[in-house]
Amino acid sequence: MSPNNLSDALEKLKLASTDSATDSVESCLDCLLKALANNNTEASVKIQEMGILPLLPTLLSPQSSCTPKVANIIAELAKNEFMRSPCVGAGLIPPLIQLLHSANQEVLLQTGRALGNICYDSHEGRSAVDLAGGAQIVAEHIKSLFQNTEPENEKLLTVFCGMLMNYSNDNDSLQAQLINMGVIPTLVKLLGIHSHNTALTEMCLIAFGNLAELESSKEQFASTNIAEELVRLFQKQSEHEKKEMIFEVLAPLAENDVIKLQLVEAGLVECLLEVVAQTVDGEREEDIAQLKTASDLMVLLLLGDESMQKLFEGGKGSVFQRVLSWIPSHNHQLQLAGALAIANFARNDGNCIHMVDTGIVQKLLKLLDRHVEEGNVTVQHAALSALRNLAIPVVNKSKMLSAGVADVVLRFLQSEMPPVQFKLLGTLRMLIDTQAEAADQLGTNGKLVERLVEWCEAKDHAGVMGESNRLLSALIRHSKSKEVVRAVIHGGGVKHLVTMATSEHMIMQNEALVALGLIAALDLGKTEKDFVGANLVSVLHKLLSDERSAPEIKYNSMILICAVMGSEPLHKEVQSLAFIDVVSKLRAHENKMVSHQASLTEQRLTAQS
Amino acid sequence: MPEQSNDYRVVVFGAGGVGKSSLVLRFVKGTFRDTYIPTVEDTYRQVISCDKSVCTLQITDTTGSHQFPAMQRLSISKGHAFILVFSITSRQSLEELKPIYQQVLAIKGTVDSIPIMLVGNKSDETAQREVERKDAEAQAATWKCAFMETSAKTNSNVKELFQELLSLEKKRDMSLSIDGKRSGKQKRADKLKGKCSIM
Repeated sequence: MSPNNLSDALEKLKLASTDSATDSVESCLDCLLKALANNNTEASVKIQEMGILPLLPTLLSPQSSCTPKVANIIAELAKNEFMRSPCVGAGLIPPLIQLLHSANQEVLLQTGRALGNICYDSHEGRSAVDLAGGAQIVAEHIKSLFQNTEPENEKLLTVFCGMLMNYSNDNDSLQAQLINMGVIPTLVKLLGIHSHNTALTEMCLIAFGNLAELESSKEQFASTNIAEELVRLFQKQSEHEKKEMIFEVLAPLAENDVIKLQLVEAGLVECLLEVVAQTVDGEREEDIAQLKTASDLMVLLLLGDESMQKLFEGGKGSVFQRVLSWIPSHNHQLQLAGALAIANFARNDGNCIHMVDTGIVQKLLKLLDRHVEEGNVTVQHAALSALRNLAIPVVNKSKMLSAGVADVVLRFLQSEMPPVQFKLLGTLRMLIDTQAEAADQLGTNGKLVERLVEWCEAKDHAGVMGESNRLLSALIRHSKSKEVVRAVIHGGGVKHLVTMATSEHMIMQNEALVALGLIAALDLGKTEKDFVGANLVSVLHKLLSDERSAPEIKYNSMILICAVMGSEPLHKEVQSLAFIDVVSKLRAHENKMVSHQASLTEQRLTAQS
Repeated sequence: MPEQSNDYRVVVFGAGGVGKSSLVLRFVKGTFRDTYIPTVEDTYRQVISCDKSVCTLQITDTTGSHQFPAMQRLSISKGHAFILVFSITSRQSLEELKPIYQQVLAIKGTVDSIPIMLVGNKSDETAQREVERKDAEAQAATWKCAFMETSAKTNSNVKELFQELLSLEKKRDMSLSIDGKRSGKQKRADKLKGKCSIM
């Protein structure tokens, strides 16, 4: 007698004990499944209200023929968020985990579904499965089954992968647990074998996407052939959605330098270039999205030293040429990617020299030209970054200065954007190194000096503040020009250089001291007031007294002390702070330059006391 | 070692017990330092897009700093954005924010371009409500800042709070992530939920 509605079935189920006829239980279960298929939520509520859940563990015995149906019912129930905790509370997890030892395909399938759905976004579900060691068992199954390509088996693999993903999603420690179990190499092999099966492939990709977020996974991935597999898969796709899925896995993986090189060797770059070519003129949202993803990925590949050099191919490679062609594009995203790519190719002397020789500077200047008024900040930043790197090799500096780089860079002086300011400063500082004439020209540019002094106080932005101070010092040090010194004094820059000498970084201290030394030597009269106001003498005293100061610092401090002795007020300050004591101790310093200078300084101080 | 990190500093103020630390903890995994590390050799730098490199969110929770006015002033002067937290169950806690707002105004000079968010926390405790939503909204209007109610307990509106705050920042292109990875993870988690997890 089969029940003809859900309530009847539930009543009968309640009454049925473990040793009653399986037939009647079975027909009840069929009725439940039908009701769930009809209206899952409604049926689930009813099932829950009738208190059926606690009965289910006894029905989950490995020997019973009902078991797959019961597991199926649990899987259906757990589709509802409100049913998951009750499932755990009713003690369903342990018997389900037991069923994972079954040899029956159907049992495994339904059990996997049930566990997977209970774990979906459920802390209790995951804890319970973790406690019962469920993940390990499922991982073992995958390891033993992954080579079988029968459709039924692929279905099972899909469910098992899904279960592991639901188990670990958004939970770092559970993901780490899976990684330690060695699921990564298995899943990669799985992808290779089952790439014809869409559902399973998608599940693998999602798994990779999740696991790849963890640092610990990337090394493991790097020791598989994931790069090859993903590129191969990508080449087969035509749909945007599918390509997106693969992109999403590639991005976190490509943060690992070894994988970058593997991806380049597997031919990813050609795929990316093709995507760019196909989407650059597209107006659909998906074209715009794909263009961004592909070009961003390209730049990411160039962040690695080896992968970048491989793609540079002495500057003659097709990839480099293609990327060059992006810079004059009408498309902002491509302009940006092109500039970033060039900036990253420009990461060693050889590349930089070649690029400047073959006209990259003019291309970048043209690009910047298009972005002065109402320009795109990210493009400005990228192009300036490229110029900064290109200006590092000595032979490039004069070439770039002749090409008018400094003038173009100065056009961005009014930018309010710290990243742009930062790169502008870096570029100028690279350019003037060893270039006295340029340093003189820039150092006497009133507007520039004014802005630098302003930025020296940019406490909000440590990078801009630091670079500004360094440029101010560099203008003086490389020009050694009295006019530049005058301009800096006039612009109020001296006090900042004195503050710079108190920096925690030795480099900053030293650059400040050398600049201050030049100021004192070239125009002590005009700067005297600023030195007094900024407490230069006490700063020097501190630097000389501090045992931890580097030899260069001690040496340059003493030079400066001697230089300021020519000023009456400063001389008085020196005397009042008893420098002789500090300096005479330094005569015993292990560094010969320091000890020698200490002698000279002591003599000077004594003579003028 | 990064030569420069583009830190974005969010300073969180509020009386004891309003739950501001919970708000912050809900959201943050670690803390980041403001750095500029100069190098002698002019070194080549990897370059990533500045709108990606901008996102190191540094959240300063000022618990206990009322004891140290100098520290409070320093936090304000270095801060890029401010969250002023009160509890909807305590009118007093809203009152206590007034001098803090004044101090931000005094130190920054203007609040025109500074993202400030007034936050009524403990929105889950409806029975104990002392501050009506419209009153807080009125306060926010006088201060010319934004307003939001949150519950750190139920995680209601916490992410939205920071998202909203960052969207107020006009000077930079900010996208929400603690480090660049987080938002990708969130996106992936959302896609996963929508796609394949129900079997």
